[in-house]
Parts: sequence; C-alpha cells; structure tokens
Amino acid sequence: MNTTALRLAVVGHSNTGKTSLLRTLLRDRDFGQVADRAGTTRHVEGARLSIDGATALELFDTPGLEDPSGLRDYLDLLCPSSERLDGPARIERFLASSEASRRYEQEAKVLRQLSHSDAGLYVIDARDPVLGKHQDELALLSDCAKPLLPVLNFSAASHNRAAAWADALARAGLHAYVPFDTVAPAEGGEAQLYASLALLISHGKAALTRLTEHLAEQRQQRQHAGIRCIAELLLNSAALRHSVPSANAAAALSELQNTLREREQHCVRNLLQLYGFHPDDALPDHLPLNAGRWGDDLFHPETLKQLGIKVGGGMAAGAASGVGIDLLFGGMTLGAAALLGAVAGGGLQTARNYGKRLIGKLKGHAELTVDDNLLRLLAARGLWLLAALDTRGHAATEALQGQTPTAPWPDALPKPLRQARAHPQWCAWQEQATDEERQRAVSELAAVLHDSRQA
Amino acid sequence: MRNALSSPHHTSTFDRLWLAESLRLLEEQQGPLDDQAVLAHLQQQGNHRPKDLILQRAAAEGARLKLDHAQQRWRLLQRLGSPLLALLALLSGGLLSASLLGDGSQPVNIFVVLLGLGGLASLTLVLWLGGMLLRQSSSVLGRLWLDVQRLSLGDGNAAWLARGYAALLSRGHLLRWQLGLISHSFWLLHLTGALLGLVLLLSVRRYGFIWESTLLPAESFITLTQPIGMAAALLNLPQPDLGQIAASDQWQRHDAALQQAWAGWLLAALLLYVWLPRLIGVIVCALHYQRRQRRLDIDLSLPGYATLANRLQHRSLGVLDAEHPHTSTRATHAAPSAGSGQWLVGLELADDEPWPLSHAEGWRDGGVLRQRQHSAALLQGWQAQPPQHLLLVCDARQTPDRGLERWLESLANAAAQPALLLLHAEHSPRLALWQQLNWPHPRFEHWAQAHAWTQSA
Repeated sequence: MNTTALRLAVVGHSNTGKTSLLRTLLRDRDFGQVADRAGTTRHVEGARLSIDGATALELFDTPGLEDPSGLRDYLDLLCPSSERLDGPARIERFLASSEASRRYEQEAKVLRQLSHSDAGLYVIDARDPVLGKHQDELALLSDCAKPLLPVLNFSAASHNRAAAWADALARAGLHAYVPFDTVAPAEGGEAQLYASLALLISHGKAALTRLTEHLAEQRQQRQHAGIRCIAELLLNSAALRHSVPSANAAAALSELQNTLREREQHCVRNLLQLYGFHPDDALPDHLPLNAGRWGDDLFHPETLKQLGIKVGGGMAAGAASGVGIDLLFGGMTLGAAALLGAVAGGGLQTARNYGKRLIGKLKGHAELTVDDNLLRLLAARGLWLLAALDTRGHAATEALQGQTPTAPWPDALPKPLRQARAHPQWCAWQEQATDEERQRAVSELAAVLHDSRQA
Repeated sequence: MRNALSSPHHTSTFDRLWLAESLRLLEEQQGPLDDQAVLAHLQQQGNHRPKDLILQRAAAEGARLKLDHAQQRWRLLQRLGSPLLALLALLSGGLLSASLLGDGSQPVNIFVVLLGLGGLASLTLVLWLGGMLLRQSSSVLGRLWLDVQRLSLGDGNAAWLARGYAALLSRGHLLRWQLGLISHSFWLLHLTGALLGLVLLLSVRRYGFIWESTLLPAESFITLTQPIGMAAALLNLPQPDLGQIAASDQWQRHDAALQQAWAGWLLAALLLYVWLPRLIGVIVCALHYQRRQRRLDIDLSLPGYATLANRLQHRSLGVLDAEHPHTSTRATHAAPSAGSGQWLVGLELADDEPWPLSHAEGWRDGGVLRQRQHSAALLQGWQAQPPQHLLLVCDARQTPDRGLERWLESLANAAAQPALLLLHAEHSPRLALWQQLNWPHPRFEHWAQAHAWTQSA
C-alpha cells in the first residue's frame, strides 16, 4: 500500500524553518517536539500525509547543513578530480568515509536521506544574504542528483533578498522555486508548492494532484465545520431564555452576559483548534484576537458601533446590555402557533416547556433573551475570525485589517434564528436540543452564514 | 486491517456511530475528554482512515465512561420491552373487541364496533400523515417509547447516550421513520389483536348486529354502509344487501345469513381500511429506516469530528537517523604569543553592510570574507607576522553554525588576541544562538567595547 508514497527530504541550512515547513504541511503543531534543543534538529524525523488512511507523501525533516564549506573541501580531498567521479559516486564515497560518522555526521544524515528520497525541498531564509557556504551547500545537494525545489521562506518579509537568491539558484541550475511562508503561507501556497513539485517528479504527478485535491476538500470541510460552530452559537443564543423573578433581573442579567461571553470564547477556542492552533499558541499577527480572546468586550456599546450596528436612542441601553427583557406575554406571542403544532404533534418536551413558561409568567417572572443586535455582533465576529483563519497568508492580512466587518442582517434576523426564538428547547446549553427540526434550522443557518460570507 | 478495527464486543456499526455521536455532544458541551492513553494506543496501530480512528477512539473512551454498559442496558430494555409492548398491544386489541361485542345477549351496534376498533387508529394515522407532510416528527407513541428508554439510562454520563441517539437519528433524517415504525407496529399489533379477537368471538358466539341512532336518519346508514361494503366485495366476503341493511334497524334474532353478512362486512372494512394502511405504514417506515440507517456515517464537516480527525491522524514515522552524541575533539593550536598591529576582518557580512566600519581608523582592513577559502591568503600572511589584535566582525542577525565556528577558530588561532564583534545585536532574535557559540575569546556587541579592549591591552 505504501509503495507508491512519494518521499520528500526537507533540507537546508540550519535555522531556515525546515521544521516549521513540515509543521505547516502536516498541520501538526507538535511535529519535531522531540528535538532536545529548541530551534535545532539534529536527527532525521519522518512524517506522512495520508489520504483516507493511505500514505500519499512521506516527509523527512533533516538537520541543518552546518558546515558545507568544510565538507566540500573534504569531498575534494576524497575524490580527486582526476578520478572524474560523478555526483552520486562522490556522495557514496563520502558516506562510506570515516568522517561521515564523525565531523560531518550531521551533513551525512542530510545527504543520505536526500539520496533515498524522490526529491528534496530546499528551504531558504530569504532574509539571509547569499554566502559562499550556501553555494557550497547547493553544490553538495546537487551531487545527490535528486530533483530539488527551492522554497523561499520569509519571502514576504520587508527586507528580503529574494532577487539575489533567485540569481544564485539560477547559477546553480535551479530555475524553478516557490515562495512559501512556513508560518503563515498565502492562500493556495500549498497547492502551488505541490504543483511545482509535480513538474519536477513526473512519476509523482498523480499522487500530488490527488493530495492537492484532498487538501482542498479538507479545507472545505474545515470551513463547513467552522460555520457550523458559529451557527450553533447563534442558534443557542437565540433560543436561550432565562426565566427569573422580576426583582432579581439585574443579577440574572450579568449572569446571562457571562454565559454569553464564555460561550463565545468557547466558540473561538473551537475555531482555533479546528485550524490547528493550540489554546496557548502565539497566534499570527493578522488574527483579530489578543492572546486568543477578542479584545473588545461583547457588551460594550462601542463594539456594536465598530461593526456598523446602528442602535436607536431608546434602544441603546438595552443594546448595551445585549439582553432584552421579554415582558410581552413572556414570548408567548411568538410561539403560540408553534405550541399548538407541538401539542398536536406530540412534542411532549415542547408542551412541558410552555407549561413551565406559563407558570413562570403567572408567578411574575421576567424572561431574559439575547438581543437581536447582539446576535448580529456574534455572527459578524465569528465570520471575521473564520475568514482570518481561513486565509492565513500575509497577503490576506491587509485585506482583512483594512475593512472592519459589517454586521449581517440589518433588517431582520434570518428565519432559523427567528424560529429559534420560539423554541427554547433548541438551546443546547439548557436542553437536550436534539430534535430534527433544530438540526434543520442549524443547517439552514449555516447556509445563510455561508452566503453572507461570500457576499 | 479489518481485524484490528473490529471492536471486541462485536457491536454493530450503528452502535459505534451512536457512541461516537454521544461523545461528540458531550465534548461539545463539557470540553474534551482526556484521551492521551487511547491516543497513544491508536498511534501504535499505524495508518487508518480518519473515520475508523474516530470510531475506535469512541469505543475506547465509551468503555472508560461505562457507556458501553449503558448501551447494553438500552438494548436489553429494548429486547425485553418490545415483546411486552407487543403483547400489550395484542391483548388490548383483543380485550377491546371483547368489550365492544359483549356476551351476545344484547344486540350490537355495528357502527359502534367499527368506530371503536378503527376510529382512533385511523385518526392517529391521519395525524401522522399530516405531520410527515409538515416535516414534523409527530408520533406520540414513538416519543413515549424513547422517553421510557431515556429514563432507563438515568442521569450522568449515560444520559448523553439518549442525546446521542436522538441526534444521530435526526442527523440521518431517520428519527421520524423510527418513531413512525414504533407507533405503526404498535397499532398494527393492536389491530391484529382486535381482528383476531373479533374472528374468535364471531366464530364461537352468535351476535346480532343492528344499527341504531336517535339523531341520524336511517338513509344516512344505508348510504354509509354501501361504500364501506366495497371492501367485503373485494375480499369476496358476504355483505348485507339493501334490503338486509334496511331490515337491520331491529334485532333479527334468527336471520343467520344477515348476521354473517354483517360480520363479513365488519371484518373486511377493518382489514382493508384500518389494518392494511397500518401494515403499509410499517413497511414504508421500515424500508426508509433501513435505507437511511445504511447511509449513516461520521460527518467530518461537523466541528467536533473535524478537529478529532486532524488530531487522531497518525503522522509521525518517528526518528529515523538519531543523533549520536560524541565528543568533538578540538585541535589545540599554540596561539602566537605576540604579534603586531590591529586587524579588522568581516565574516559572512551581507553585501549591503557598509565596510570598512566607521570609527575604524588605525585598524588594518582584512576585508569582508564571504567564502571560507578566501581566508587562505590572510592566514598565509599572518604566519610570518601574526596580528596582536584581531577583531572578527559578524552579523548577529544570521545563524551561527558549526562551519562558522570552525572558521572563526582557524582565524583566531593565527592571532595573539582575537575578539568577536557582533553587529546589529540589538535587532537580532538569534543573539542567544551566538551566546551558545563555542568562542573562548572576548565577545562584543558594541564598537565602544572593542575600542576599550584594544586600549586596555
């Protein structure tokens, strides 16, 4: 099964971001944690990318080539030019030599791994100047006679020397290279990398195409999952009802606000996890979060204003609290029809729920619900974060920061949310919330969110 | 590979999906479970499809939370409960027939029997159909049955199973088919019981059928009886003709043919108009349920599963070519004891770095070296006349490597007093790496320090 897997060695000078590249390609933040010294890999470590349980690509992290100049001198000593050995023969002789396990042990690991691989990804820190040692490095790597794809890391940094590198690579016979930011790759960067590789390894073309398709599919799945996270948050918030004695309304209000803050944070955590960030990770600059949290409080009037949610004068106080007190028949107006339907249809839970609410109403309880504007704010922030996570590249950064998102649905909430208002039992934070109608509402809401994302 | 995947308890695919769904809901509300041990175990097994991994993890975690026992309890209740429920349905049907027919001493109103046996069943069927058209799951009996099963699980972890069950079925759009199946089956058995009771009682007793009403006129019975009688015609059973119907407003105690005709008419109507629709309902629900159940699967676009799929995917191939630490033997060279002059040499500096450095008056310029071999000329010159002070200049923003270390060493060995000056140290995130560099000589980060060093010596 694994015989068809392509083998790629990731090579380069020390500290150019080889391990970062692997972590990004594998979407595994923990790869290479075994390294005893932070920032330096001194062994060869492998990992695979699978499609449905079948290995598509095997990637190998190698130590940095630290002393290429010394090694090149040593190679010249081992293989006098009079013998006219070709590259692979020279490498073979070196690997059999005594220094391959002593002074040049690290370099030997790199060259051995590259010789056993189908191709190499040569990682370059584009901010570094091109030096003699790099030229020696290129000469050594090309002696392995394996296709080599230079990967220009940090090529989006302000002081990069990408042009000098392109020139140096061309002089070494490497005319194709890909810019790829290993920490925050541009959208489609990965696909470009695999496409360039496919040009170099003809027998790997099918596998790489399949892999690219699979990655696109996964990305779509992540997007759907992210949107569902947001949809669940919104639907639960819309369905949420707190019945409290009117006298305690103030205390209950702040309790409800805390619940919502927590739930939004929960959603943020889920989204970050979905995109492979650890809760305590340092996040890329372009994400609109401070230490994994939204900087602006959910219930600050300014937050609403920033997102273009206009609040009328009389509404301002209620909007700032983000919670409306539903005094009008305890929400019965919205739900009377649904109540009849539910009783007729045998929704015992629904009937029970209405009973409870009616009793609460008779006892003089107030019902707290989440304000429309707050729902719009939650939607806007969620979608904003999702967009930022989805386009991780630096190129997308400016586009995201340039525009503050506008809150969706200025006129009326979409139908699933209006429905949720009349179905307190849809709130998964309080109830079982497993009925089919709710699931349909979540799917519909997800579709609506998807559309407002496109717009 | 399949053997490694099949779970030890031979649970069905549905049960494994059910467990996974329950755990997904639990983790969504209460945060992730600590699955380190399971994860480690799964990773040893090599490469599997993400969906299989999720199911395997669910099986292991479910066993830890004793959810598998709860599942077995649920199944046991189902196995014990369904025959009981079936028996109840049959008996209730039979008893209803018996109570409606009585002991034969009194005439029996044929329409009361028909309505009593078929009325409620038909009404609930119509309600169910309406519910299906409105896409609402509307089966009281099915809901009740689910509620009873839910109660059997109690609170705690097992309560999540009930949620998971309903969620999995709703997600696959088969909850309403299952609820429908339960209620149709109950009604079908109830009606079967009623029909059997009817046949039994009609076989062993003689009943007199009449129709009577205070409010309704006689014509309405006659017009109602005939279309209902088409069922009997279809089934080739006897049915009363017009004359017989008209005569049945009174008890015709000795007309056996008339009573037989009414009995045929009643049986055929119940069988065709009440029993058969329920049978069709059972078949339709069962077919839909089976078809949709086969399509149930792990949906990787659900947030919980998407994250899990990524986390469970076993990627590492391990360390293949481990580091063998060995003591590097450092060649010790006798450094020249005294030299003359101050030399300044730049190593691996970028070509946009200004050179020679400003304030470097009184220093001899060794130039900027970017290639190891280029230092050969300098070293050769220094063999005859080694420098007293040799200041090697590097860019702190670059990564110091073993090659540079060796190069620095070879240059330092040629001078009486070597030192290292790091440019841009304040802007370098890699300064710590330079501090780890094996360099036994003075190291400066500012020109002033280097200047003071030459003065003090």
